[in-house]
Order: sequence, then C-alpha cells, then structure tokens
Amino acid sequence: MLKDEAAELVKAFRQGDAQAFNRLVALYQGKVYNLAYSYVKDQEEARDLAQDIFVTVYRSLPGLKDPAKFSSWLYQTAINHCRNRYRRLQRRGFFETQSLDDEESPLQLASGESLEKNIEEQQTASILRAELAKMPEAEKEILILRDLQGLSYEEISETLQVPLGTVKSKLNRARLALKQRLRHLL
Amino acid sequence: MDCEHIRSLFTACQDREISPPDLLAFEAHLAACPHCAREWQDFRKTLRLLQEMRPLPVPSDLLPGIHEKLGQRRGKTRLQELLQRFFPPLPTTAASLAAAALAVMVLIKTHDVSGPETSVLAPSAPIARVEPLDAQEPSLTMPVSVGQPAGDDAGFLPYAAISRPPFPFLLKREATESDLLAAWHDQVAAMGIEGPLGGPSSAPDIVVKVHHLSPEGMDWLHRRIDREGRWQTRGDSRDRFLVLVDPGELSAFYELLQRQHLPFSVHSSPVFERDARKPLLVSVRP
Repeated sequence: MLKDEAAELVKAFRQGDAQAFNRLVALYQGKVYNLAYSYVKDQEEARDLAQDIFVTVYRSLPGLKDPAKFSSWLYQTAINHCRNRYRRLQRRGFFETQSLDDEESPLQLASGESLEKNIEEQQTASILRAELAKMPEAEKEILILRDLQGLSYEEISETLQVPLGTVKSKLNRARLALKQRLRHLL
Repeated sequence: MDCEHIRSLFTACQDREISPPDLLAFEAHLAACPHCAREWQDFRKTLRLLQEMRPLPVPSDLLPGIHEKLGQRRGKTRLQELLQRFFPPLPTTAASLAAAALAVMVLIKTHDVSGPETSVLAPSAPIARVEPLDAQEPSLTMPVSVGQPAGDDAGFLPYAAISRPPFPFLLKREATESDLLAAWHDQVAAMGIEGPLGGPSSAPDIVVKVHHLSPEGMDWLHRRIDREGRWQTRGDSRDRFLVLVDPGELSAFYELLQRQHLPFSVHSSPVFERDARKPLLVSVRP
C-alpha cells in the first residue's frame, strides 16, 4: 500500500538514506502537483508551489512523530502552502489575468482516442476547474481532497482537522453546490 | 423522508456509507419522486465528470528543482545577507544576551467582561529576565507581576506578566495551549485577582512581538513563515500579520523565531469559544 511504502521510506530517510526522499517525491509528486494546480491553475506556479511543498517536507520530516501518518501530514503541509500561495497570488491580481485558454496542459492524447473526444474532455475539465475555483475555499478543498485526490473520509478529517461527521456533511453540501454550478453542462 | 432529507443522503449513498434501512427509504423515495430522481442523476453525473478528470502530467524538472531549492536554502550566505539587510544590528549587550539566551517575556492579559480594569493591582513595569534555554524547567508557582497596558499595549486589557517561566516550558513539544492556560490560571489564582478568568471564554490567543524588526523585516518574516508552509498566514499589513498555529505547534513556531535569532515577547489576548482543535491565532507585530 502507498501508505505503508511511504512509512518505510520515512523511516529510511531518518536513518540517513538520502535516496528515500527522492522515492517519496516520486510516490507523491503527481498528487502534490495536481493539488497545487487546482489552487493556482497555472503550470509554472504549480511546479514552483509543489517544489516548495517538498522542500518543507524535506526540512520538517525529522519532526514527524508517526511515519504512518506521513500522508495526512504531507497533505496538511501541502494545503497550508496552497492556501497561502493562493491568497498571495489573489492579492497580486494573478487570477484576474488568467484566461481559460491557458489553463490546461497541451493535449495529452492517449493512443486510440479521438482528437474530438480529447478536446471535449479538456473543455469539460476547464469548465470544471473554473467552477471549482469560484467556490468558497472550504467547499473547494473538500471536493479536491475527496473527488480529485481520492482521500478517504478519515484522511480528510485528519488533514483538515475537522470531525468525521463534519467531513461527510460538508462534502455533501459541496457536491450539491457544484452540481448546481454545472447545471448547464448536465 | 422528505426531499431535503433525501438530498442530505446523496453523498452517503454515492460513497456506500448509507445504512440498509436508509437505503431502502432512499430508493422508495426516488421511485416516487421524479424531481429527486433527476437531482440524484445530476448529482452522480457531476461526480463522474469530476472524478474522470485526468491528472496533469508532472513536469520532468520537478525533482531537480526541489534539490536546487534545497541547495540554495542550505547556503547561509543568502540568509546572512537578508538578516543583515532587514534586521538592524542589536546593541552589543542585547546581542550578546540574545546569543546566550533568548529574552522572553510572556505577558498574559486577563479578560474581564464585568468591567475594565477594576481588579487590577497597582501598575508596574513588566519584568523580563533572560533565561538560558537549557535552564531547568521553572516552577509554575513563581510570583507574577500585574501591569497596566501602556504604549503599544494601550489598546489591550490589563495583563498579568509571568516574570520568569515560559520559554523552556513552552519549548517542550508537548506543551499545549491548555498547559499555558493552566499555568496562567494558577498564577492569577495565586494572586487573588477576581473576575471571570477561568472557563472557555477566557482562553487567550497569542500576540508575538518581534523586537528590533523593521517593516521590511516584517515583510521578510511574513514571507519566511509563508514559505515554511506549516501554518496559514492572514493579512499583509506592514505592522501586523496573523498566523494560525495548532496549539501543539506553538513551540515549533517559537523555534522558528529562535532559529532566526529574533528576540521576541509573547502576549496573549482573550478569544471566545476556543475549541481545542482550532488553531491559535498568532498575531505577529514588530
């Protein structure tokens, strides 16, 4: 399991295995980069943000009490970074100059897929991301963690430090709110 | 079950967290209510769209960039440069004291909702003593001085200044807000100050004052804390910003200031309905 592997790598890192950190990055870079992107909606910024998150992880890892909690701890660190960067960029008016056209990456065409289908998917993804971005922070975060990052209720509860029941009720409200926003697409 | 209740079960049903009796009632309602059935279909379609979004590919230079940043931050020259630029040099005596030990003064302001300043003892200047960081943990029953806020503190309620203890005590990883509160209540009770000092409504938030710090230094510190990524920051005023710190991480926050050799003092101010899980609101001021 990802969590078990991460815990072993954390232990190895603490015992001086320098490569263990690289393997941790390899395990989580996709999740962290995509989490960062869902906040800043810009690939350059997302890369820089993801790098800063891992730099913090590297420096703070010796202080992590329980290696088995690495995943939640990483998400907490990442969310804090993302919130701070988002607010800083917002203050600078960064999002006002962004357009929908440059949100998505260049077309990633999997073999056997039609160009039309791919373009349609990417347009849908653009609209989804744009609507997500307009949502209140608390709703947006819980949707990102659950439906984009695939975290369990328990992991979300630990990451956001809210009770499990609150996670469930907030998630339902957030999903209903997104449905309402996407009504024209459905 | 009414329609509103049915909608509150959408997520539980989708994530298979619904109890069998609720599921039966849910299905029965959808079979009889076309509106809710349509809502449920839209709900599921929304989630399908969301969950089918492809993750973006990770840039190939992500890892090399991390190592590059780690390399930069290991070098001290840049840090020394920044420190020299933003922090005015301390007077020799203060500098040597700061190097030997951090001058820390914890001023804990009391909250008295019954009326301002009625139970305050004679004003006196807050006492600050230098404590070596490796000093034996001080007793928490030591005398407390009470003072009247003045100068920068004029807007605050009267405070009780614990003259000796806190830094080694708070530096302990396990020290939490409740430890701080317990110490505070003990001290205030020992002084016989009357007023609603106990209870959940009198829990303090924290004001950290970083001395000898210019406005540029505040900017720098804000960015530094921001970059640490461990806590959320709020506000971008030049003379104040806020940090949300989990109570258990208060000592880690102090450690960060200590690593930068920043002399600071810690105050607390009242906040209402503090929940143990909520982070402390730490206001940082020069």
